[in-house]
Amino acid sequence: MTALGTVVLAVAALGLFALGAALGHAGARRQQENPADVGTPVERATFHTLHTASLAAPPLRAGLTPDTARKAARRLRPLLGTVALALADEESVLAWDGTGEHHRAAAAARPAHTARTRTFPLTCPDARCPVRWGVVVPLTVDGRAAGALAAFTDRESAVVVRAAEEVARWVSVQLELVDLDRARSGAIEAEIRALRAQISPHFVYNSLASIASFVRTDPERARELLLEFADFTRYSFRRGGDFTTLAEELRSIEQYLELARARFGRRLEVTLRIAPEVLPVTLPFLCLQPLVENALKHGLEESVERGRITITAEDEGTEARVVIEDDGVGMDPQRLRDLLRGRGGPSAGIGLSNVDMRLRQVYGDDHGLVIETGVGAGTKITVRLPKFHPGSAR
Amino acid sequence: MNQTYGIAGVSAVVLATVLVGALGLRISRTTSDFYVASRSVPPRLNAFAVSGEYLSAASFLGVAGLVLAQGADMLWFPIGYTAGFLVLLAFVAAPLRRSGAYTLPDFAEARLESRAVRRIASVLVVGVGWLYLLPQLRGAGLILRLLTGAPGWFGGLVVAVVVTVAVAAGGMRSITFVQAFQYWLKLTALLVPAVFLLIAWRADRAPAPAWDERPVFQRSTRVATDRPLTLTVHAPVRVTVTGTVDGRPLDGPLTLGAGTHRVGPGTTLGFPRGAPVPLPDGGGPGTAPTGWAQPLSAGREQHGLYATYGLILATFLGTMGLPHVVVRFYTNPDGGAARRTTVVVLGLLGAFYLLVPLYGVLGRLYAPDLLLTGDTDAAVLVLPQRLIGGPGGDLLGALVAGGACAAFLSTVSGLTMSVAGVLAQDVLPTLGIRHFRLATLPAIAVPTAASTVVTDLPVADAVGLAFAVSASSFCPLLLLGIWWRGLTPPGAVAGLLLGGGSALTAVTVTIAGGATSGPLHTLLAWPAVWSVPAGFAAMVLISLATRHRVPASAAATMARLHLPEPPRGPATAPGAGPKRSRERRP
Amino acid sequence: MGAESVPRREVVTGRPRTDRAGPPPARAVSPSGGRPAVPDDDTPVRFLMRRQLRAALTATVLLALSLGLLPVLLRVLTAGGAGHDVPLAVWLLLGVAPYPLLLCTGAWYVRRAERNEGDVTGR
Repeated sequence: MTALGTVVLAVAALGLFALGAALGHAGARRQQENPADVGTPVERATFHTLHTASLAAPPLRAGLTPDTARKAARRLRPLLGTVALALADEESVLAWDGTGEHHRAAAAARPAHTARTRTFPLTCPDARCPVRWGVVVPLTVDGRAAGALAAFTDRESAVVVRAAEEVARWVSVQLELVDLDRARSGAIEAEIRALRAQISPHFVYNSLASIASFVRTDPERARELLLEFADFTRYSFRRGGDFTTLAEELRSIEQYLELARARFGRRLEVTLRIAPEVLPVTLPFLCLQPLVENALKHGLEESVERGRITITAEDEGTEARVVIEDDGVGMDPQRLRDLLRGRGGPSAGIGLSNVDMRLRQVYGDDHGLVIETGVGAGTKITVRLPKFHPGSAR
Repeated sequence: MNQTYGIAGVSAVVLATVLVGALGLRISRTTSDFYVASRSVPPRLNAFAVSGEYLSAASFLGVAGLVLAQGADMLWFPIGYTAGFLVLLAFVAAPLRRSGAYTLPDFAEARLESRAVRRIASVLVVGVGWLYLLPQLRGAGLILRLLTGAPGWFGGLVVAVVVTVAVAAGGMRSITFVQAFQYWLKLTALLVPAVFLLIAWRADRAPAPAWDERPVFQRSTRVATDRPLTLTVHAPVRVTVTGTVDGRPLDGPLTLGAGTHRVGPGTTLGFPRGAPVPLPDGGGPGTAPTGWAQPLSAGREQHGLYATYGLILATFLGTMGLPHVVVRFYTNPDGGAARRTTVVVLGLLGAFYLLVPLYGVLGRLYAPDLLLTGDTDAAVLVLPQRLIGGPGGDLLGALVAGGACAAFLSTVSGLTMSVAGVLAQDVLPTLGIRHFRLATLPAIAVPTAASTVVTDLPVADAVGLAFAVSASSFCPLLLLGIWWRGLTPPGAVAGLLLGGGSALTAVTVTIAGGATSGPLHTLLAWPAVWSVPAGFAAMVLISLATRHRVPASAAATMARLHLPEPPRGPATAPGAGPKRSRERRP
Repeated sequence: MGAESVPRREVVTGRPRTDRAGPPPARAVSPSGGRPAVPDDDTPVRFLMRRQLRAALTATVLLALSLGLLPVLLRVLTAGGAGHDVPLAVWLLLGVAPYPLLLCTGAWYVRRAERNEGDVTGR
């Protein structure tokens, strides 16, 4: 081993760990306030408190579980400045931060669902143990007890009681927001259901009418179309599982287009360019079908001549890009913009804004619909779907 | 070798690749054959693609060169490259597909729900990808140097530019059809010349190669060198010289006496038939010219068994962590298809690697001068010319050159795509919407810079080292993540940092030339033997110590990884009606 | 906009959701939101995992016994034997024999794994 080797080894090891540490804390550091604007000591203390509170909020927003309680307790204890802090739900102590964990039972023994703050002294055989006195504050969500926050110090202190009550109130608000979040995703789920139901009346009528026209002239064709129709409705009305694969969604679109062709005949020309690599991509259920329906509506229904729809799915590294384009009458950009921002009438294009909202809800703002259109210029809708999304893995 | 034919071969491959890529995308379909469009890639086609992407310049050129230089022991390389897929098949293939992960960081996040593990895995993926790209670019440089006489770094640069432009322009991607085509191209480029070479060898009365002593020139051979060489001659040999030997300019016959001789650059030596091949003075890795052979030769005699096991462990366990291999499994529609794909890959790789040693053995017989100049990796390229000659030899040479070109193009583009994807998603997320194409630049610029700046680097072992890093970090993460519920985020972080970190450190030291000989060099050049257990131990022990951090979703994730997917799609659901007149998907 | 005079396309996107509070939405939808709940009884999963692991380990042990022991075997044989000359058998043993072996092991494993899955799901 040469001296150079030793040096290189040490430097490489150090570099690696520095890199890991830097990456690990990059996220946290980005959120920190700018150190150049220091302000007065009071302001700084306020900033510090707010910052600590903002760090404790994300875990709590995921609900009260041992893991989130542990993370939140670690952030909240410095806020109170106590030697120990515990968070409990209605049944047990979820997390204990600080020293003297052998008193965990003490926090558990105090009934959490008392509706008011309680203080109590603690005895400990260990002379060096700083946990001598505790305060338990209930956490309430919508007036119901949801758990308790317990703080422990070495002596009785009215300041700690006051501070613990304030922190507990703040935690309660965060937990109420959890319920709000749930209500919000419940509302979106309901909207998805609504969208599914919305396809049918118009489409079902048209499909059945065109199938009926074949019953006499071409019974075999009519039978096939009916089976397509059955498959399509089964897919559209299926329950459970909010995600599907691009392959399945495309298959349902195919059935949809097959039924549309029965109605429009040669006037409708469809071109598909699908890269097979992106077929396993998962995406929110019934996310593309409304876009195709829109293309059909603006590409064909409103014009007399023949129309062409092109559906492309391409591989873009970690994402799949789906483009649905028609050469029809197009849309008024301003009206479309209003529509996407929820200011349009209830009649038209609810499908588009719903898809846009769901994509943003699932993947974030970067993944909303990008629509290129103009009056008489056709429409091109682009959707970018991440190949991997932690929530959508099947 | 004939330059015109060679360049024509390489151009034909590039053109064909672009054409297949363009056609694969252009085949537009109308609704009537939508079933074709929305049908997933069948396992066999995907297996062609996996093999096409996996068989790199190291496989196409390097293995034959190693066999030429060092004999049968080097056959462990192709064995390891193939057996890695068996381990991948047995432990990883189906569950990885079912996890829905596209990259290894995705898997880490899906299994452990930890952004920290994800970030560390990303850094390691980029590291492994860069290490793997390095020898590919060097191989490209070698081919272009032989074809055009351009300096070695130039070829790597050309390939880097071509791949960057192609990927950024959205052209030659890792499209399944292109990669599948590349596999067959590579197999053909080896198989057809091999048949003719064997016929020529039989016509030559089938001489057996000598591995025990110094190889001899089977025919009178002219050796041209473009850089200074120091040769050790054991018995006096009469040669014809054009150039400088031992500092004297010469043009005519000369008897080289026993001892060392310095040959100036630009010298041509003509050896008579039957003369033993003088070998260049074996220096440390820093002074060696090129060749996958280098890391093994130093101290190989004493530590042969250790090095062999280091190689076996690294390749057997490292394949599952190669970014461009993992990405391909996503294309499979489900876990069962992923498994069937891998079995086909085993067969395809076996067929390819059966041919490679032939070239090494024939190279030992007919191109021993490569040992003298150190360009053993060129064995596959020069053999058709040497053994067959004439326009036939030129044509076969062009075919082989085209195959080699396909080898590094497919691997480089696949790796660049994978590294760029991880860079764009995890390391440089601030690049914005068009980040993926921008990320292509650092993805390939870094290894290119590394390969051009340090031209004397023994990059040869970089493939083996990339495998070692992957085996010590991702193998524990995948195996424990898939088969052990108790894995925790801190455990994974510790294992990745200790296993991957120590292997990466050993790699850095080896590449930087920190230890050039002795047991320590062997220990660092083949880190897998100790770094793989270290990675596993760290992951298991820290996970046991942080048992409360087991992700709450572990049980659900395990069910998803191991239970087969429910039958999908309306057409296969029960009660789908009577049999259709049209063909339904299987 | 002047859209009526020249049929030109304009890029339209929805409103950025900057007004929404909380963590980035990509992570806000928890996996459990769109996922089926944790299976109540994971005995079948454990059972299947054990069987699959056994199959995988069998394949690996086969690999380790056949190929893993070869280097030692060859070292012992060549050390006591003919010195440097590598017999043709060694070339065949290293250059040809492993590939059919790997393919057969792989094919066996796939059949075994698929049978295990069929047993659990009843298909």
